[in-house]
Amino acid sequence: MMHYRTLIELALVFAKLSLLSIGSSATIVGQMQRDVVAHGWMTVDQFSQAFGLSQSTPGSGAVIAVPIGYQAAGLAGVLVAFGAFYVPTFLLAILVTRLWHRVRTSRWPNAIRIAVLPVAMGLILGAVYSLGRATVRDVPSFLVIVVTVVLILRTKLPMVMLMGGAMAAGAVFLH
Amino acid sequence: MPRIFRTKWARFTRDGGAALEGQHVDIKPAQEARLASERSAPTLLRLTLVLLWIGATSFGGSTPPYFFQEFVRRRSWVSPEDFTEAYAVGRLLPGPTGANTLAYLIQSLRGPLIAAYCLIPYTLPSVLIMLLFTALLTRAPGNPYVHGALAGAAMAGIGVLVATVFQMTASASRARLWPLFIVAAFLSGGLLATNFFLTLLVLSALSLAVNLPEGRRSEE
Repeated sequence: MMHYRTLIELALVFAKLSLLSIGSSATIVGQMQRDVVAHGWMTVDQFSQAFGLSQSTPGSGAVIAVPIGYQAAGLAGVLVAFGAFYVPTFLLAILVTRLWHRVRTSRWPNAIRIAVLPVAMGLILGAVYSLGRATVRDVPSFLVIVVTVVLILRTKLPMVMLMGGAMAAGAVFLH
Repeated sequence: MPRIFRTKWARFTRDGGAALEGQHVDIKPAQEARLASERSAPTLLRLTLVLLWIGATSFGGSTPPYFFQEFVRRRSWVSPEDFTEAYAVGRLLPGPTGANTLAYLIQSLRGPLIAAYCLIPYTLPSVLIMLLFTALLTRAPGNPYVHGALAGAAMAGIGVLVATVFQMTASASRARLWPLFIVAAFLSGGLLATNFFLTLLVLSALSLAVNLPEGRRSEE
């Protein structure tokens, strides 16, 4: 009985997060962390690690639903969390693209996108604050963040190499 | 490269296709690609194989650049113009941008049912790889090196978020009062941890109010 309740909660949380992720999927990371921790599916540390891992594997960053679902309810949790995150908005996208030709010449879609962007950026910075406050405990941790930012902005290194380097540095300096 | 495509390409890279920026682009002229897309609708098997490949190799957290490579550059299934539009729609809608872009592309190529099916080969490889990682790591919780490596991944994940904000700045700076809305959203969503939906709804509505399309603004 408890298991089904967890699955329903996973479905509701991830469907809600997916529908709220306007502007960028990164927008909802802060809220996702709050929801996941509040339901007791992960600690803040575990969530941060799962988020880091989701950036180092192929596919969309939305794959973070996999470790959360697994931790909450095993394989069934993975299916429910991932499905709830992808399916409703994917079906919505199919529906909207069928109607898109009616609004494609309107200036509103672009105006809405530009208007939402600064709000999305502020929410992402909110997630950085929230995750950082809970997980950055020493200078080496902070340095890994700084080096990652600089490498992303200044080089064309593949993300898998950046993440591999960060994990190697973590194994040496952060254990 | 024809001027019309250079313009489209510049708009695409500026609007968030940053992962593609700087890559060598040797593409057929736009008209040629459009003609090619008209004469070659991909088979279901071909679509499945291409999406499985993209799902297994698209490192970096953003899949639209990989769609561009496979759908536009390599196979000419879609014209650059149509791809640019698909990407713009994908970013506008809620949910993962890559999946939304894919929905638009497949919808235009093979219709809604095949589009719905394509979500499976697109997501399956990354889910299986992530599941493998998760299962392996949960079996070694006490190992200090594994713990350190995960902590390193977590810090890099935070770095990715910070870099994302920097990369969005060029597009966001086209909005009026954009620094104000960044600070307001940060304070509300981060420091005060107020209701996410309310923050998004209220601040987006205010931002839209001061960023009405030009025609609409002059009418009022």
